[in-house]
Amino acid sequence: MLMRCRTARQWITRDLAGELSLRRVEQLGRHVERCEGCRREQVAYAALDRALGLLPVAAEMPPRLEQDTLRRVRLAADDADPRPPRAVGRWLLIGAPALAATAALALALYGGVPPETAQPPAAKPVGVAAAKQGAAPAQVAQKAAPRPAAQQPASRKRRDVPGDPPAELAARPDLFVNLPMLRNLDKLQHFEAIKTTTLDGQDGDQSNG
Amino acid sequence: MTRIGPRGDPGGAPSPRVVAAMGAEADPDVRLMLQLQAGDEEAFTELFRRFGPRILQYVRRLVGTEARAEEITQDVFVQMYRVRDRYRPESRLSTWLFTIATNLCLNELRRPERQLRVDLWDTRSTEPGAPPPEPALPDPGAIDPERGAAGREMVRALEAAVAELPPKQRAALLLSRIDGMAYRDVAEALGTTEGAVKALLFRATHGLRDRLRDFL
Repeated sequence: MLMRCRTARQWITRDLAGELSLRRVEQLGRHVERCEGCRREQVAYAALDRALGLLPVAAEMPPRLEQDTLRRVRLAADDADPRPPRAVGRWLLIGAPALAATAALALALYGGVPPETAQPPAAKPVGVAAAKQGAAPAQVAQKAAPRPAAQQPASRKRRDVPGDPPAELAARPDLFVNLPMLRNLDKLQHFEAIKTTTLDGQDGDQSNG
Repeated sequence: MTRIGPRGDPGGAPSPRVVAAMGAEADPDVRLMLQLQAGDEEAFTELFRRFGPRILQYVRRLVGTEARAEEITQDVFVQMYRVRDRYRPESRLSTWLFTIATNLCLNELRRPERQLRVDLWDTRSTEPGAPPPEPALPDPGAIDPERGAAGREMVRALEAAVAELPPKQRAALLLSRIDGMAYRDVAEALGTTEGAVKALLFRATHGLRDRLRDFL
């Protein structure tokens, strides 16, 4: 079968790249034997292929290039965030919120804190609820104030465990010096309340001393 | 006792992928890369010495200017360091590195402010007032001293002709014909198919033939 020159010239480059099957190489050879133009092309492409093989594959490295690159890599290493080990980092991401949620749930269920007191303190409207029941403001204040655990009924000991003092008070313990007077100042200002309540120290149940 | 293979196959027969990975780890380049992943800085230096000259030459021919070629070569290795954890031993390290280099070069060539004129091997006279030309390639005679002046001139013209090819054709030609990469690896480096690589090579070769008609 006669081959067209167009096909032959496509096959010439493919032959040089080693892509042509043996049968096609033979076909191409037969065509080139008869076609002067394609033979010239074959010679030219072979020369081109050899010339490409002469081109240097590697460059001569300027000495400073290695130093500059190493410097940049060290900078990149310094800039990189310290990465936790893969497994630890992954478990920290997944595990920390899950652990926190589990701890909160366990505390609410088994920590002796009733569900209603598991809420943040500000969410419990102590004053409003007590006022609705007819208590005086001073009583309300006393109810809201934490009591020493030793003087509370056993059933309520765990419920009203006093927490640490606020940081502001912890930093200034002198604020505690006149605390009874300050509490009673509230009663002095409200005469009606004084008639129905007692000062600190007069009632053993409410004494802090 | 029955051994359990990597995918739970009884008999301990490793999967083909594991076999390939085990074989790849015997490759010294891959071993160096694994050492680098483990934090060995000496491995980086060794990799730079092994691949730096080839990468620099490739980048030179792609971007054309010597200073920019050196910067991009640095970028290639800094990038290699930054993304070292992404390398998997299943693929050849050289292919991975040339992929990074090709992407950086093609990005550079796409920059709008960049002139597409490649002047490293351009023997034509420069415009008046233009900056002095970049240093030329080492004399081809130094590579093959037996070649005469005609051969050196031919190689010089060939470098200039390669520099005038469109970037993707140039990249395919350099990777395949000069760096000797398989079509599959060239396709991976260029982010294309083997068929597209063959087409690029065909056009590149014919383009060179046309440009070098006086020499061939």
